Amino acid sequence: MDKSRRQFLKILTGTTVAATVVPKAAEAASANKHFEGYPDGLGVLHDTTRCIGCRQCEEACNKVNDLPKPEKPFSDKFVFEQKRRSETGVFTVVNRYDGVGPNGEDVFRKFQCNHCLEPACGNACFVNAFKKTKEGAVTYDASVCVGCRFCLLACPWSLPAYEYDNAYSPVVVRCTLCRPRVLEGKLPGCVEACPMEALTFGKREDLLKIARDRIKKHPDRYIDHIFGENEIGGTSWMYLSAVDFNKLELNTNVGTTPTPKFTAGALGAVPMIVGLWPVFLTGVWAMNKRKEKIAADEKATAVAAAVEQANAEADEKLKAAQEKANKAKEKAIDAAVKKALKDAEKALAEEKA
Amino acid sequence: MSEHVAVVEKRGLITPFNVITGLIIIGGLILTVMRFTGGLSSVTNLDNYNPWGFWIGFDLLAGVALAAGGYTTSAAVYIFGMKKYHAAVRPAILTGFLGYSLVVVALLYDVGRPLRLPYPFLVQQGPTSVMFEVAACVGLYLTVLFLEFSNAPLEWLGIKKVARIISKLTIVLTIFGVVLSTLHQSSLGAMYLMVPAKLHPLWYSSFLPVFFFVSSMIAGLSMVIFESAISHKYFHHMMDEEHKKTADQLVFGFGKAASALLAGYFAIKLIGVSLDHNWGYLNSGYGYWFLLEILGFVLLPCICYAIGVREKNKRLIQITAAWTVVGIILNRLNISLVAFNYHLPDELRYVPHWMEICISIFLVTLAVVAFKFIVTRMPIFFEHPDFPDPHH
Amino acid sequence: MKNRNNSVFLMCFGLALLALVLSFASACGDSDSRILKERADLLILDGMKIHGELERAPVQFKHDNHTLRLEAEGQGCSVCHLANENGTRSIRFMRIGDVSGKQQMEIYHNYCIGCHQQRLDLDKDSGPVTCGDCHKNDPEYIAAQAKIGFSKTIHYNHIKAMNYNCVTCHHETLDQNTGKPRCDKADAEAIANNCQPSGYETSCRDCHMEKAIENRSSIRDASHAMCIDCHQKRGEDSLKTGPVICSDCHDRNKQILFKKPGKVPRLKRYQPDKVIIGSGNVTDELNRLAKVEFNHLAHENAVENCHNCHHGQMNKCNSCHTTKGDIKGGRITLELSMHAMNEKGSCVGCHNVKKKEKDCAGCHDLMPKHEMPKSSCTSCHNHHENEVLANNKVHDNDTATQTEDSLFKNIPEQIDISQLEAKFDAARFPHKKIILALKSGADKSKLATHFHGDDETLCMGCHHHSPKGTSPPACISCHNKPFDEKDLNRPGLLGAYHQQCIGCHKSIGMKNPTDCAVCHTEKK
Repeated sequence: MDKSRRQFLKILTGTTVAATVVPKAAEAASANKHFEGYPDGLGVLHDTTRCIGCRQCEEACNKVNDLPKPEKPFSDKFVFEQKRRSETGVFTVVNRYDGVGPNGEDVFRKFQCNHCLEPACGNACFVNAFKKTKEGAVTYDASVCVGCRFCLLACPWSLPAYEYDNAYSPVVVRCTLCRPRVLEGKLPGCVEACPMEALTFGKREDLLKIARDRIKKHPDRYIDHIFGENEIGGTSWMYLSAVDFNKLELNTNVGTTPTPKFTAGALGAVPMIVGLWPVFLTGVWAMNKRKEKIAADEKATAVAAAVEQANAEADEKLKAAQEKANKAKEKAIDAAVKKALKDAEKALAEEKA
Repeated sequence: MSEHVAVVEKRGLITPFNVITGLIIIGGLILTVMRFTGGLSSVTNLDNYNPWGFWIGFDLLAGVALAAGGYTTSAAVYIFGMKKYHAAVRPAILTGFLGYSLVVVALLYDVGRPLRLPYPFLVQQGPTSVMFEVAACVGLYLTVLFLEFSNAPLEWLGIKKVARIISKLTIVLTIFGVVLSTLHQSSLGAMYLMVPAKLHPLWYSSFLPVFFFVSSMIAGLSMVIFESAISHKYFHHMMDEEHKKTADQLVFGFGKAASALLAGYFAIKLIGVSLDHNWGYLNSGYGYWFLLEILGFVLLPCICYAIGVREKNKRLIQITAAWTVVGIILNRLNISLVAFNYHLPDELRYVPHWMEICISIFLVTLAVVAFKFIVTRMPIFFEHPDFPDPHH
Repeated sequence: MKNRNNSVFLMCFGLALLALVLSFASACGDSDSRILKERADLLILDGMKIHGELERAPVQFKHDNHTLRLEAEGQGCSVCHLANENGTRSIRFMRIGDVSGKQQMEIYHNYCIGCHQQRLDLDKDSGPVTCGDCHKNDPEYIAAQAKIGFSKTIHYNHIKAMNYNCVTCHHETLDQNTGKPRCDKADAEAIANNCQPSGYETSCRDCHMEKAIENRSSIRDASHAMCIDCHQKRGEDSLKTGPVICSDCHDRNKQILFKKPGKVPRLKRYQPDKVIIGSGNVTDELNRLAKVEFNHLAHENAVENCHNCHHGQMNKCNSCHTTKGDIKGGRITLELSMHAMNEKGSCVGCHNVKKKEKDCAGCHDLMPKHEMPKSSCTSCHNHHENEVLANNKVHDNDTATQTEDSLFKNIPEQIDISQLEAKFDAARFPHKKIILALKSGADKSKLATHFHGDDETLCMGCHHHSPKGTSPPACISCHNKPFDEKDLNRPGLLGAYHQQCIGCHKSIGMKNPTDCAVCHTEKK
């Protein structure tokens, strides 16, 4: 009995451990799946060698999305003294990087949501407020947003912003790739406004062709890398640069694994745990219960045996005592009878005299 | 028992404890009004690079870890059959229940639209998200804890029938509780799997879920020892004989278990560093901080627990338990605040606003006050005469 | 009591451990990467590594410090550099030939530390005497010797100073014993014997390589021995002389100060004015394309150093770079040696470098760089067989003779570009001024005028992707809506204008090329 129980426990432990590890292996096998974006998905190629920091894109975005007018006008170039980022009422900014260009010149770069192919924000959101659409844009549904800000945490480049000042209805602030305009056949606001065509809009696969063509034709002008081609599994907004991307605050060490893959293993383990833990725990409990029952039974039998023995001994003692008492009684009766006879004899003898 | 209650009522309302907690609660209420009328920026230092701050790091992450005493103790008693710890179950469940309630209340403060907290259950689900799983499991587990705890108030109110029904459900609730706890404790760690570029390599590991789960057990056991020590000091008069008799057994037994778990945790932390070839990072500022965490707050308590158990030194184990609790809080704060965004320049790093810390103190105070209220009235530290434990 | 003692001990141990970790943390700071300062006179003394692995860090030796200090005290090179048998100075430290590892170390230690110690005893400024002060693990400096070559200018300065006595430096011309020329014909045999016939002197680098070969010193040793020795002696004789200390030659800032005579006369080495470049082998079957008429004289005037093209030996290119790619030429074929786009030594490569100059870059920066325009082949390959070069003339195009009247008279002074008026008023485009500026820039360069052919080519800088002519299409004829799927690389009109205009302005180095108001005012 013990042996089979031990075996059962071993099998259980083994399967539990294996099941928590195997999802990772199974994950690796299905890792051959790589989402290359919806076919005909659109995107934007940002050529930083063309950007002149005119901020027309910022102004257009502000106008097209009805955002509040900023303190300083868009023609103000002193804003470049500070590095800016998206914030309440600001979907996109252009930053200037002093002297990092190949000839010591300043380089400008536009920041906005990169509309990843497998967005981290979408993976993180527990109310599914983010959707990667066919057109390429990652949309945000403010009507279900709870405000947990996991999307801000998850984004590898910390691109979304949140309305911390808003007490009653704060929302996440980010570029929308002007999806409503795109569906009408118009261009995104920033793309339309850029005089240098530093922002090229089109199908993502075409943008890659254009980028490669530019690099081929002007190898002295670009470094041979399209940022966003493979980073984080690919983004819809891609960049070309004359200098190392890290100098433009485009973090290149984000890897090429799409973010959802990082948590796929852990999530895969959940159904395994839900399936196996109750079995395992119930088994342990059942075994303990059995152990207790056996212990209780053994105790009961032992107690019963002890009681019986005690009873038997008591009975014997009683018998012995009774016998003794009987004997004593008989003796007493004999003695009394003898005395009585003696007394009677004496009395008779006295009467005769 | 009626004598216990009578003792409490005689003392009156103006006690040092009441005054201090009263002031904290008044201050907390003021800050609460500020938070909900002025938005998050009025009471926090959260910004777009640091969306999660002290409330998530301490109230949520550390809170959930420290409330793990509930499932560890009930698992030990009801599943693994260690009856000698039976007296510790109710206090542990109560601590767990108050801990998880504190977490949910803290979320009401932290989340941008707290009235929408039920949305993931009622309106639209995002099952690709680890946090969805955390929310579901925490919600369910809170229900489990509530049911497990509900016995005490039901007995106190004399609602016998319902109390007996719930008693019968104990084993099912316990198993369910362990399953749910495994899932959400590990998933809190899994949330940080998403940000390898933002979390310092010494703290980031593919095994974060395992680290969080094992450390939650350590936290739970230590918290039970710690809470038991405090309770024995301040609520001794509420305790029945069984409770007083088994107190020492609890300390030594849990101390032993905690020591073993800490040894295992230390090993897997080192293995985690080794697997990613991160030894080089140890020779840096962050590296020394990491070494401090695992040597001073994992290895040291492991050894101290072991010595305390062997030497039967109750005081040492209790001090070690408090030290371990600090270590768990340190670990959670390290992951969420210190090692997170390590790559950002100093001016973009986050430091908690004093109001955030005050609100956390306020919430913990509420839990302590609730704890006191409950244990001085309901059968937590003693057995209600009408409801002898059927598992005895 | 035993319980308590154990626990107390344990707590102390724990605290000690923590203290250790924390003190470790504070003691070892992060080693931040310091920016090392550059010194032109820094010598890294790691010569011991030929004897085995170095036990200590190489020594960073500041040569100029020592030279200048000794000079100020009236002492010269002989303090450290011994004289050779033939009177020249050994450039090695306190030794002439090779020595064993132990001897080398002892030489350095005895003489360096000895001298430093002596000076210390005399209360003079001195150097380190302890091991770690010389063998520094954290060096402060980095050796940065700028290359110095014998350009035309420097060579002219020298031959004037030497009164055209070539043998002073080109020592293989005369036999050392007899004083007679070693060879009188410049042929393969002469070259094989490293003999330099008079009039055909070659560069030092033809014989003195990077590393020493037998008793032939390396280029470094040879040049220092020859140059510095001579400069030193002339300085002693109070004649005009050249640099003696490291930084005066090897510091780029000092190189700018070298004397530059106005016009350097042509270096005489019987070189041709014009060359017909082919494969060199008249019977070569592969040799079918029209040969190149190469204006050697014009190119001599354009470069500072023969080595720009004659980078190995002062020979004809096709003696090493054959059609099929001989091992002599490093397997580089004749075609590649002439046409490699990014090599300064190839024709096309050097021309590409010239196109980056400000006068040219405005148009040429915008043109694709990955292949040569096919039309440019016949600009070079234009030699017709059996044609005799009359008066050594080649087909030179001389567009500088064309005046503005002939070609540009119909170009408007100013065009108002108003097709896209929205935020800004019409852009004011001074068409004539720009084309005349382009012409004057191009006319400065014979390279430009040769390849352009005629002035109409200049129009194609902006009126591109269309036939050459004086009435090219307007921009809007081709550039309309942007992001046309049918032609992915063609910008829309707005992008075309700005990329062309601003692109050119940036390349020519215009100040504020992105100032919108220069071209068009904002609408009120």
